[in-house]
Amino acid sequence: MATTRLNDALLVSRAALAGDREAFGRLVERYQSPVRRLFLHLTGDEELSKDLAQECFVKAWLGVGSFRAAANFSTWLYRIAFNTFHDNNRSRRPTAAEQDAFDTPATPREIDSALDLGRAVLMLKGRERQAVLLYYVEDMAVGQIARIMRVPSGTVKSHLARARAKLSKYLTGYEKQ
Amino acid sequence: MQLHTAFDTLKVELPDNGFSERIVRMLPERSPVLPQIIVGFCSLVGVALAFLLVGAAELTERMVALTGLLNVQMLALTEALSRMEPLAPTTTALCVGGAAIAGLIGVALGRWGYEI
Repeated sequence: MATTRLNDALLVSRAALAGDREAFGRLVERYQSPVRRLFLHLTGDEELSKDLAQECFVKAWLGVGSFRAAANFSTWLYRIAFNTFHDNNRSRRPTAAEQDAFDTPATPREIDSALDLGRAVLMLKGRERQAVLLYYVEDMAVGQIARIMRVPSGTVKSHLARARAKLSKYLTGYEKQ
Repeated sequence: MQLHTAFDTLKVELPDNGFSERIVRMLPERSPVLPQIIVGFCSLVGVALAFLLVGAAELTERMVALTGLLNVQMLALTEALSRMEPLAPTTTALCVGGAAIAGLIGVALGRWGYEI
């Protein structure tokens, strides 16, 4: 982990000070999979996730001069990803039906026909979805998630608790069928 | 079903398939001139301070003497240095101090300078 951080810092320095595209390209290679995976599970749309990942890396390149080595690069990159996702969300407001869908108790027929875990995650609210994916898929600690989302750790825990309750309800209901 | 286990199914590695290459190709130009200006400026300040504090004549004389010793007599560097008269403590302190000031300016500008 320390070696990765040092390597990231060296590559970022070269990208920031010398405009070294090759160095930045190595960072993209290292983080393209987790970033694309995050967007894929956030949006459920493969093409949109590629576009958002692309936008995220371009923003990172343009802002690399403002990267502070006090935070590690992955935290900084995920923060850009977080902002990119929310900017995209703002430009496409979910319908009232989508907002309320998860709060409506599902009938057995609905559970049976609907949701594997990936689609269940898509039914979560944006911040709950992000917290869940960073915690369970990207294996991040609550503290790191809090820094990425720029909220207190307690808020992250609340998001996770609500998300767990919702997901458990659906998964339990799905298993009983 | 434990949630942690359930989420293992989502932990897929996505193959690059040229994605990174496409990203690098589409990156807009960045030419970080400011860091190069900062480094160049600090170098000039260091050299200027050395000449100002030590004196051009003495510095030049010592550099020529050192070069001459190495080239003509092909002595080891330590032997060549041992034949030179040591700098006065004051001169040494001024050289070190000047280099330190230039270095601090460089670090400060490098740390905050490219926010400008």
